[in-house]
Amino acid sequence: MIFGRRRRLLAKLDAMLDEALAGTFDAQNYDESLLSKIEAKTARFLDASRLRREQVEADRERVRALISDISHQTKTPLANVALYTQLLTEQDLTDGQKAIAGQIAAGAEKLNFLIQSLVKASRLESGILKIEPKPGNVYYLIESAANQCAALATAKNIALTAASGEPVTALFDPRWCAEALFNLIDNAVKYTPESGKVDVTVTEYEMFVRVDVTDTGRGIREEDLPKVFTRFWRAAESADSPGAGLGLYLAREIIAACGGYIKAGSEYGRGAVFSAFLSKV
Amino acid sequence: MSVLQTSGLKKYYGTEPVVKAIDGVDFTVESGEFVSIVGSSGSGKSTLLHLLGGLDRPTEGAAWINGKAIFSMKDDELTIFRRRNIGFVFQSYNLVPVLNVEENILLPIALDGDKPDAAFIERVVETLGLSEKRTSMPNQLSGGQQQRVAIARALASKPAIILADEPTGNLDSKSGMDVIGLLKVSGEKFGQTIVLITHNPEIAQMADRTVRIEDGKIVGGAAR
Repeated sequence: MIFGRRRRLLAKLDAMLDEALAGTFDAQNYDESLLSKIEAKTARFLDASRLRREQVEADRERVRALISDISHQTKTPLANVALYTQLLTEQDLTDGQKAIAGQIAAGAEKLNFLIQSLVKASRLESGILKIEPKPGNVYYLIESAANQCAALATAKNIALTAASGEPVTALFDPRWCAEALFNLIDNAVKYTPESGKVDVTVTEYEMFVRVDVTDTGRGIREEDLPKVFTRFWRAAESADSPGAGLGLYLAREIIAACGGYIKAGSEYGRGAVFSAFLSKV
Repeated sequence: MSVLQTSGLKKYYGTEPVVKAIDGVDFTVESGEFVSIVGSSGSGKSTLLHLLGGLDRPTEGAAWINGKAIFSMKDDELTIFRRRNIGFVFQSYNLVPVLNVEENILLPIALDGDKPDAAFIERVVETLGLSEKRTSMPNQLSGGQQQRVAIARALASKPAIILADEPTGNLDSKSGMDVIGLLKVSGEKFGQTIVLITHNPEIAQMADRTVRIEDGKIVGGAAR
């Protein structure tokens, strides 16, 4: 008798917790029983958790506003710096003055690129930007990314070959993943010496489509491999090359948001392979 | 918040000479992290995983999972604690041959006498590409597919941590990449904390953080 009642009570509590976990809990009994008291307290506890969640949402909203302010408010002054530097260089300047104006122009351009990348990164991180993976042809994605790198590759006399063939379907957000892939290919072209090679190839797995970007650059040291996707990380040797250390980080975040992943492999001195795995389901 | 922490963990075998399989390991895994432990065979990495999972008791030292000191528990307490808090993925898939895919995935939950969270299980099954294999028997599946079932089973009970010991050891490199990829992707999707043990640096590198173990000691690691 007693045991039966106790078991029923415990079963009731277990069911209450299941409801709480599912977010459907509602206090049902209002009487002097202990169970009713527990129900009321549970409801209070869940309310407090909900308030905390709403607080987090409000904080995120503030971050969203701040990011949009930063990107918006810096646009005009930065454009002005670039414009007036341009006007300045059109004046009659000494060589020394020209060099200084050139530095200002390069600095402004770098700052602009950095702010753009940072804004993109924080929009991605805070979930402000919705990445929507849809089934699409991977070769089409590769083509649009590789085309954007063609000019730089030609300028450096680098043979950039992009695989093509029968359509291979994977899930990706066309605009964002083209940017991610562009970052991988652009990186490969940037760090490959003149007359080198960059190959983009496709391998189909059961669950993923693998896109490899292989270059003949100097490669990455083994101890640096786990760090290449970190924000602002740059190899010591690359300090002089343009870039902010955000491209690979962004690529990783974008591919991950599409349900895929990214990895790097390299033998130092013999080039690197960056692989994007796009999900098929 | 740390999900797993060890302090001065040691496992010695024999008396003369003493084999120091694990020799003073201090190690922390944060919530949601994907950490790989890499080492050659005989480095002590599997012993370490067995200790972390409470499958074996240390000679000295302590380990906490979700703040609970696991080696202070009695054996039968530890067994239940393990079932509710730790998901395992081994090199051999350890599926029950007479149960179909779905029954295998739900087994740990059934053992606990609990109701499965149907919507969650659905997402897990879909993420691991098993939607069309629900009623298949393990012997009808490829090795990669069986390992994916084992991962789904580990995820199903929403454990505090998943411990994976050379999960690609029996697979060809293509299925291996598939399996590790899914482990990584599903870990991120479901906010699951994962510790992966491997001798393969290419696989280890896919984790957020790599810890290297040699002669029972942690000799290096790189932060994310």
